[in-house]
Amino acid sequence: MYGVIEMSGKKSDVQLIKDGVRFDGRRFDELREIQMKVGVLKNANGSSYVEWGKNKVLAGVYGPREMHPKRLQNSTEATVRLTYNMAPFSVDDRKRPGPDRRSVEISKISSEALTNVVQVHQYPSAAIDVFVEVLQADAGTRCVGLTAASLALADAGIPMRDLVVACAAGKVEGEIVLDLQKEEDNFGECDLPIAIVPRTGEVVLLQQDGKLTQEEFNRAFDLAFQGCMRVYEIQKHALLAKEVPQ
Amino acid sequence: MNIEGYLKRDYITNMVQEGKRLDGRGFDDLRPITVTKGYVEDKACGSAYVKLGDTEVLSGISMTIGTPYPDAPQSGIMATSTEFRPIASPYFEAGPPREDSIELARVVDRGIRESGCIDFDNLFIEEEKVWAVFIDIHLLNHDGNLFDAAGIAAIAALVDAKKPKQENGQPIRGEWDGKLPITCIPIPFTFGKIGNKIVMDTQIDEEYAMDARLTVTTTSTLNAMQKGGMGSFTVDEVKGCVDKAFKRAPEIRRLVEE
Amino acid sequence: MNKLEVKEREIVVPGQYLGEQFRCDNSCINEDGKTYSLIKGLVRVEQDSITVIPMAGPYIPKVGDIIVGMIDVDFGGIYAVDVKSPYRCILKTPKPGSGGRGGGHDRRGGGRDSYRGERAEPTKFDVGDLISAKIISVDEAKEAQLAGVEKLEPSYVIQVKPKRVPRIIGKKRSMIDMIRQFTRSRIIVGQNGLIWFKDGNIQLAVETIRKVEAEAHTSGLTDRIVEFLKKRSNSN
Repeated sequence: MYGVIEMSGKKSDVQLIKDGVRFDGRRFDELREIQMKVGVLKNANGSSYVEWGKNKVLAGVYGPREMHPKRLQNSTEATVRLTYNMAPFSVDDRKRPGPDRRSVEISKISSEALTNVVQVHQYPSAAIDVFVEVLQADAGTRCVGLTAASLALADAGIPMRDLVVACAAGKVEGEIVLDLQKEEDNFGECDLPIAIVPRTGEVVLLQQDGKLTQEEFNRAFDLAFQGCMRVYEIQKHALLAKEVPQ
Repeated sequence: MNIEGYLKRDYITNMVQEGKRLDGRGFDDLRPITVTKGYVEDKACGSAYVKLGDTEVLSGISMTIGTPYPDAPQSGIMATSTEFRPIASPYFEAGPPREDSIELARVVDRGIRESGCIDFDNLFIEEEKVWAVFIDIHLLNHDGNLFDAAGIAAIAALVDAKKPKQENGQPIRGEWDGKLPITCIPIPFTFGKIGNKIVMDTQIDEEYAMDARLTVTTTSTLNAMQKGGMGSFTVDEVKGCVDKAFKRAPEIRRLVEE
Repeated sequence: MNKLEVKEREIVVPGQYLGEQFRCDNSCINEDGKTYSLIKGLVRVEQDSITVIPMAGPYIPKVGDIIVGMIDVDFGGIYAVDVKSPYRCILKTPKPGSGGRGGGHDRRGGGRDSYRGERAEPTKFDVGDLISAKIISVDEAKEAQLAGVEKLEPSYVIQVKPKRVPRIIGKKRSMIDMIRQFTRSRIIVGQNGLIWFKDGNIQLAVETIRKVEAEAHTSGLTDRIVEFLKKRSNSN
């Protein structure tokens, strides 16, 4: 549900779930295919590139660096600022360049999620800037972005008490499913993105829209949580893959 | 303060006067370049990723249906936009496009538009409805010569592009009506003036020492030129650049086409 | 009694469990007696202390470091120096007549090829001046005071990742001295990652240092660099 107006205006004629299998062939608890790489940009202090289903997201970190404007500096700790941005061509109907309200909201809650784990007291007054660029979008981009951001921060050497990992679950044609892709997100009944601190299980990002009973919520949440833990394994693997040990 | 720019200027200017470049290239050598079409092929009508040295640019083509300009009611429209995303450089700030970004977009736009490579009449659908082609250039890493990287990415993305199917004046996403017809391939070359020497494909450090630049975009004809920077070129230098641009274009054109 | 969960020199990631009952520094954290890494890096254990050596990270001013930087603000006798860190270094010029040596020229961390001794310290600077200096104090806001300042002639400066500086200098300065020798270039390495070059074969010096920076974590690097320098010096 990323706010794009469907030009055709009609619900997909395709059945989203048939005989216990989803539109793209996945089981209810199956993640889309995910690949992650770190250290992909030259200028950024840390970076990562994640392909998650048809999502393609690049994250870059600059910092800690001097914070501008100066009046926003916090003399006791660093400020983590994540800016989420979608390229105009990342979606079917071109998105005008520049931040829209949805991007601003995602940027805010993602920054808050990361601030929970980053050891900001180690860098008073500084800025830690994370840029998430969505190059191709197919639902769940805020989860992909936050997961990529976390990797980019680790690549930059920013101290964190754990990585942050995000994943969504939802309800489609009455069924609770993991990791919605675009059609499921557009025509489904509910979307529940979450982000956690894997080591402790703390929830640092949570949004929900749609209709869920309490029981459905519990199931969806557990499914999203399990999804997060599986994505976490991919994150760790990607971080370690880059380095040649001495 | 941009410490690099300030410090490197004199050193690089002296080096170039002696006939040498930082990375050992000849004055007319380009850095290694790769062009990958269809980099984001699922949503965009067309796309191309260009890596020129360490400069990385991604261009995407989006097509929507809109109303034509009153003075050309049977023609489609085209618009080019570039974003100097902060991810690409510690010196880029978020915010509305500033003059550098706007100049770059307009130079790339002219190169494409004036070459006639897009057949705008082909984009006519019906009365008051034409295709609008948006070329969006997303900078990912700035290591110099954004003009060429962006210009090449833009035309490569157009070559890659497919035309969406439409029904009753509405595009049908995910269904295509063949390729977007592109009739020729304009290629830009940007020449940097450092001291009294001219070099091609400036790396970012060299741009701190560059007093002026000249971008020349060609097909079989000269289609667009732009001089930027506060320095100047002699008439002979300008003619020399035009000559080089024509001669070197085919090698880049091959990369875009394949 | 502490319990180590990972191997010495193992590469760990943020949040990874390292063991129990260890003392740790900024690179790790203790929660309920358990120690976790805060960064990606190499584990080093020394009895009951554990640290993770980072592979990336910013430069934070530290007492004793030699830095290379540029004056970017003049507060009238007090100057702010940009050292490519989130934190500025402050240079207070000594009162006229109070003499020259400042904090002394410790060769640790950079080894300057310039004078030792008689020339008085400069007392007047302009915005844009390039300097090398030693950090003599750092306050809680991480602002550093400089002394032993030397103006550097405008020449060539590169920026490397600060965490690679130790490898670029080498054990007992072996790596940087070798590069100086082969290229006959004057080189001052700031712990902050800014490196100043003058004279000699600067191009080769820069290329070699970039090579060390890129391959800092590999083995056999010294030999490869020797070979590289020999080959390139001969062909020049």
